[in-house]
Amino acid sequence: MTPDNPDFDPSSILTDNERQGLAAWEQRVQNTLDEASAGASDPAPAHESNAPEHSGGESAEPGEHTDSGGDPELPAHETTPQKPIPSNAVTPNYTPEMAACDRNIAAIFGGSGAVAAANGFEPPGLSSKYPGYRGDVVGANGQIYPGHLTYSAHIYGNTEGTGSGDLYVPAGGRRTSGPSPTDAVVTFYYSQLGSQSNVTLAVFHVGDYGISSAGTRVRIGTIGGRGGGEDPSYVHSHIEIYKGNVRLPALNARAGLRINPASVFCK
Amino acid sequence: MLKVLVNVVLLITVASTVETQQASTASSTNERPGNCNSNSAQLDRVRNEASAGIEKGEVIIAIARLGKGETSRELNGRRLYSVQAYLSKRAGLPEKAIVAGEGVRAEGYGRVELYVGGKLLNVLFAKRNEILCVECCGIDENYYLYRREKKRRPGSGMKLRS
Repeated sequence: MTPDNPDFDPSSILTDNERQGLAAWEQRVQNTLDEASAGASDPAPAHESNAPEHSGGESAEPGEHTDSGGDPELPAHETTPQKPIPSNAVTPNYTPEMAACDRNIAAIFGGSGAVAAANGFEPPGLSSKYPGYRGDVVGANGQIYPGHLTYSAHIYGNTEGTGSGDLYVPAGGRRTSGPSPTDAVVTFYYSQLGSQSNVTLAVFHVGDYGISSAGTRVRIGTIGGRGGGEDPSYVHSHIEIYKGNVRLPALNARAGLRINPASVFCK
Repeated sequence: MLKVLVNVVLLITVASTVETQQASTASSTNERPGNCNSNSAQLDRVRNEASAGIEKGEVIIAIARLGKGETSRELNGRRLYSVQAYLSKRAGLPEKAIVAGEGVRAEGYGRVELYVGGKLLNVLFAKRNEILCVECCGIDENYYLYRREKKRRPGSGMKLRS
């Protein structure tokens, strides 16, 4: 069977992981089409329009971007991740509310096709060497260990983590530092951001940094800058939010200042 | 003493496994050092894959191997420390579930191989003479683990001020 053969099945040359990623992508496209066709009552869904209604910054209203109603049409792969979930996971299930929040954050910070991971779960299409769950876990001693994605929301160009794309921040902020030399971190101060006031937004791994207005958002560069783009199967940027106007705090000071991005944009 | 014994036993019992699995390791992974981000993500994956077995008494075995052009065994120690520290202090695994040892020198990059349930699950590669960064993002260069390996000059040991 060859590509010249009309019976050729292109998916036959894919690995299981690639096939899974392709299925996830196709499902996401279908979801978008379904929601677009049903969008008469919702003319500007966040994930289709890159959230033009999202003003962020000083004009942002708390909870403005919340899509709290969830999405009952979510495909099974979004609610049932295929990769192992540790038995001590605090949030072992990827709920429709989490998926809606991730879409919301992707629409705020990413361009067309962007995917966010801000609720403990990586996109399902990531390479098999990367985990599905990166949320909080409970240690044997009862202590809760924060997952990487709890305070660090990842933005990918696509669900496989292999693509770049435009990177945005909400309008209304003021750049206070960066890009830094090692991880291309750019910080912005906001008197109001989502549900929080007086916070610093740090965007890590900003590629091709450059500020340009984009409606109610500001384009700051591309996904997968220094520190986030070296592995072609894990191309991402990520955001962290700190209390106060603190630029980029020292590593050991961040823990006490961090705010969960999901709580800022989805609650 | 027990730790030393464990390491010795590991060296004996794992050496052959490491040798035989090297070919598959080389062919099944992308032999390039990752960055802080990808290393921490891969360790989270190891945690996720191993947690069910650990509840039944299994352990994660981490084997460090120097790479081409590397001579200091201290590198192995530092790389293993980073992996152990991340898995226990960040990923929430019990320290006793992580067993570390050194293997024979590898071709190419130095590395830490991670075995779960007797199978090679992941390999973290390190740049020559550098440790494994597992903290994302913005590592603390003042933390000794993250300092570059430096050649010590003869007689340049730390002196106490009088």
